Amino acid sequence: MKDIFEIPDKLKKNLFGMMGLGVLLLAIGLALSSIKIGGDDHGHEGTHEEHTSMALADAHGSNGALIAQAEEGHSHQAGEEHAEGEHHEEGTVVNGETHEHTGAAHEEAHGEGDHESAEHGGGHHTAPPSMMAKIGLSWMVGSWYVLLISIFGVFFIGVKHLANAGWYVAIKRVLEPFYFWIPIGIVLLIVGYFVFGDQLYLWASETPDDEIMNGKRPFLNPAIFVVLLGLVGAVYFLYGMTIRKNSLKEDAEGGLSWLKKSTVASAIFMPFFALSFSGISWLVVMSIDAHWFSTIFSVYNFAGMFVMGATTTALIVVYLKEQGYLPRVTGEHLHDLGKFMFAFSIFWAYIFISQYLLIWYANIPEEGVYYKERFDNYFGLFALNIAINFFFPFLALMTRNAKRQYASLKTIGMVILFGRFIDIFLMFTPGVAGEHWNLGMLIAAAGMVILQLGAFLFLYFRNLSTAPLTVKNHPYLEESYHHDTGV
Amino acid sequence: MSYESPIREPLVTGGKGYHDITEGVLAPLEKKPNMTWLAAFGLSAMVMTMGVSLIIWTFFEGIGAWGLNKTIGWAFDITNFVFWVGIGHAGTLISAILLLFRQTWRNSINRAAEAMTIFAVICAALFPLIHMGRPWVGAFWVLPLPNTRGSLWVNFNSPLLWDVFAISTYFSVSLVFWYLGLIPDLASIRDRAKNKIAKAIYGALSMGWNGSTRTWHRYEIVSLILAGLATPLVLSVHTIVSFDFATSIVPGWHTTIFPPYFVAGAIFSGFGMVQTLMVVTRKVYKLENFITLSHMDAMAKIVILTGSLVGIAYATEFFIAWYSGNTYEQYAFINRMFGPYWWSYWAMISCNVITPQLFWFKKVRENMLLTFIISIFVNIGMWFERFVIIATSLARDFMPANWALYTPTYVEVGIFIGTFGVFFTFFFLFAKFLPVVNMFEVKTLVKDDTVVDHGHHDDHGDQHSHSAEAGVSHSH
Amino acid sequence: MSSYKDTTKNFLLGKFHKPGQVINSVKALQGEGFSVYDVYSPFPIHGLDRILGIKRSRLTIAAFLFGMTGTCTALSMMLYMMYFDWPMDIGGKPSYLAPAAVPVSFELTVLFAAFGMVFTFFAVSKMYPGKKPVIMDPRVTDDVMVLAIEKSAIEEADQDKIEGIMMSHGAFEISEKTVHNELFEV
Repeated sequence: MKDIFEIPDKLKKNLFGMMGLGVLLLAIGLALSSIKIGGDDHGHEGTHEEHTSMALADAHGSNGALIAQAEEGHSHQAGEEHAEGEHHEEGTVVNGETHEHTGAAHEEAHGEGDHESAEHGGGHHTAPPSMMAKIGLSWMVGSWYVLLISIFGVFFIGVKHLANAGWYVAIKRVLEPFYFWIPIGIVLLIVGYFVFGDQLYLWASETPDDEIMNGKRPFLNPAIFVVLLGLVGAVYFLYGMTIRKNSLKEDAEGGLSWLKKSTVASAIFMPFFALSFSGISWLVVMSIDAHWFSTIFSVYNFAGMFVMGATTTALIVVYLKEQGYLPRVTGEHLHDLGKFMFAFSIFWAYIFISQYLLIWYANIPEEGVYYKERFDNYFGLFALNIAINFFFPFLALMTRNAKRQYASLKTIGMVILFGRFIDIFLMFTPGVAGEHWNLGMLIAAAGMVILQLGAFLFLYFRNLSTAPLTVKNHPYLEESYHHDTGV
Repeated sequence: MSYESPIREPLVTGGKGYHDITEGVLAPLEKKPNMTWLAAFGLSAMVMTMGVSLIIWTFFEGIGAWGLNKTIGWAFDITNFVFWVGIGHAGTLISAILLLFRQTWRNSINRAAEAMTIFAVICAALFPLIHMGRPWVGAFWVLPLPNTRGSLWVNFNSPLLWDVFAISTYFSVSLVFWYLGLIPDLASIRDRAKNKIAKAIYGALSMGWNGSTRTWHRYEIVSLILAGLATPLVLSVHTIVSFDFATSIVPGWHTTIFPPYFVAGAIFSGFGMVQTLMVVTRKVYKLENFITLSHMDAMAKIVILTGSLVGIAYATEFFIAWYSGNTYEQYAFINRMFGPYWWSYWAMISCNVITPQLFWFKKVRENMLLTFIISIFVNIGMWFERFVIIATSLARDFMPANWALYTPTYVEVGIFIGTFGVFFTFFFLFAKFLPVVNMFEVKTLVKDDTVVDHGHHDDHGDQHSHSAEAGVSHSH
Repeated sequence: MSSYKDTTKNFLLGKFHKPGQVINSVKALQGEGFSVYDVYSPFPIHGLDRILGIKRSRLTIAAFLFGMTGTCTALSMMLYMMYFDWPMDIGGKPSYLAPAAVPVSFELTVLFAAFGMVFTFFAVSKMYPGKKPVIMDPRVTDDVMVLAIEKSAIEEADQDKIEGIMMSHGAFEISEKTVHNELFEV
């Protein structure tokens, strides 16, 4: 049985095709996004139901700074909102009083971000985003997406080492090459920041009158961005490399010392991971909505990262099995990966509802603005996000067969990966494009994800082919071969 | 048959076989209670009686017997409630989450941990009941019962009502889970019992269990699904407890990380309590061969993990309070550290974040005295965490004119101590009358050296997964 | 198939000390074309259920259905109480189904699924408090695994052969038992 992966020409062709498709979609998307379709381009998402849930009724008087900003906001919108409000009796949250305020609150929500930054392209816009902003948006969405997948590789191996797990050893080699992309993803983010930053991040430009923004500058500044991301890239990469090196040494020399070394490295890596992952998700993603904050945000990103990583791993394992590799990886291993996809989709939903419910319940405008924006202008995507990232995997992966059969895993995996894209798109876009987003931007971002994913997979498979697909001499290898998920 | 790597440390030591396990675990049950047990039980029953008397006094006198004031209307009782609910999390974690992750070391500690869960939830539920003042009419306040006022139903938008549903579901599902796990062991006691009364009672409780493979098959599926259900349930309970605070707009309470942070804290405190109890139980009941040092080691690792997660949550809250630019939020955290309750904050940090870090050293993890001491610190620290969150945020609210401090009265302290009496009374009864170690699960860990012929395995395997198993060779 | 009319069954029992021996015996017996009635053991023997050809239980489906019942109960209860019967405006929150409905729906889903499944398990396994057990050997709940073969299913002449197979795989004792029980379940 062949144990060294050889990249088939077909795969090469497909991956280049994938990258080509990515470029094409990016181009089409950007072109589409620039065509104005019938005046106001946010109309298709509707602004009807939105008022139902995010009643920012108490916007007045709760935060001086916000009010001050709101007053600088756009008075023409207030009128518009009121007019809108009047024909939504059904949508009224609780009573007439709330209803009347909705418009004003919404207006404040907009006013908050755009008092300063319309010309910079940060915060909540009234002006449509520039071409640079759109490219930058796709760039960051794509880079973050693929970076998360590659981070999963190191995280998962780390956890398994610390937990002394045996079952995953048969697929350990599949996970090892993930780390290879981490520095590339980090560089892409840093480049993205320097090229497109002023179009995306409010904090990349001067905001002399924005006290809240300026208060955050000790954290939100280019130096921290470069240093923290650079540190993350370096440490994650070094850790991944150490694991890879130890694993190859173990093949050659045997003995327990390599496992021990890797376990110690994991024990050092994990605390760093826990702290740094929060840092980068705040810096790269949360700071898009520069005024907004949520303590659970990094956990939310973590949950998504786990889902997409486990899904990618399962898809790669299925691909390798179909090519005739990994003879001793069985349905039991796929079952466990499937369980992870299932469990972490639920975990993601749990984190989602925790964040959403608390912000909805407390109804504090400076927090609610985040969902207000998504309800008003992104309702379709917002609903799709929950459907595809929670209800779909929950129902589809519930049965035992779905987690074991290639066909079902492939289909479900693809849908989940698409769902993860929607989620990440929804984390970035509203802060950049506000109500001016359109389908073109979604397509462009999808194109960038596909392009980078193609490049990631190309490097991944090249790296995968440099070592045998199964480890030798790992003390838990035999355990993994006999792995049985039980009843 | 499952395969285990030879480098793994055995989870049953001393060369014990199946029969030794039965003998070892059931020995304390089948003997007459000794003086130590009677003394310990008597003491806890006395403490419980003291607690119950003070509860009755509270009903008689009213909530005025407590140290609450207009600013701090929620303090000792809710702190104790969260404290006990938190402790109640480890049992289900061990029996459910670790079952899903196939951590077989859970097999010998799950029984006691689940029992502990149930007793801790009982203690927890006491506090909201007492705080109602008139719990005998409380049913109408917490349950959707038809009544003569409309019916005016309970408010389903209130996190406190969610708590009622969460805690009662958690309690009943844990109880069922625990009982289900007990059935095969109850049958063991039944089949060994010499005493007629014991035989009748254990016989009735064991529901005619006979160890048939068909029943075992269903039993394993039911256990697995119950574990699958209990896992999100255990997360939901402390999540909902955290909603009691986080849905408000009180600075220091309203923060979105509360749900996972409370859950991590609950698991942390629960494991602290499991460590405390297990260090003593394994010694007193001579169970060192079933609850081995490897078990204690694994628990210590979970304590570092969850302790560190809690530490990261503290740091996150603190950082985001600054990052938010919200002055109230910022003040709440400064006040925690340097305000009038600074001592409780630093007690929390040193007990929860700093001392557990000692578990990084294997020497500490395998030293039972140090483990016991650190676990006590964890218990103390987690009590203070809840006190810090609750009291400091309330003491300094939005209106400085209303600022006040809170000191518990002897009644509150007495009731709190009394709940320890309740907890230990139940625990001692459990330890006397039920097997503290899950015998049948530990028996599955005994190594069987029979060479099993795998020839027919695939014929009986899952038909649908043949494609995935193609090429698998089981011979060795 | 269940047989409730014939309340007496005669069994040939092979007793073992190790799960591996039971598995090997069952396989050998099945290889010779004998059907094994059941195996009684102090703990679940991994993989034996598949070897005995026990069909995977559908309790998971039951759990799912009970869970859905719980969700529907919770949602309709809240909808009725909070929207139709007596709408309440507390803190400006909508009285109809809102995010606030999630926790209670979740709890009742789990409650119904757990209890529904456990009681279904008791029902299909015919277990109830106080049931008189069918004990093949009192040591079955301690350290003995019992392989039971129904005598009516085998030829008289094959008995020696079966005993031989069991002995060769490590049975330490062979015995016979007659069981009277109307609640026998297959």
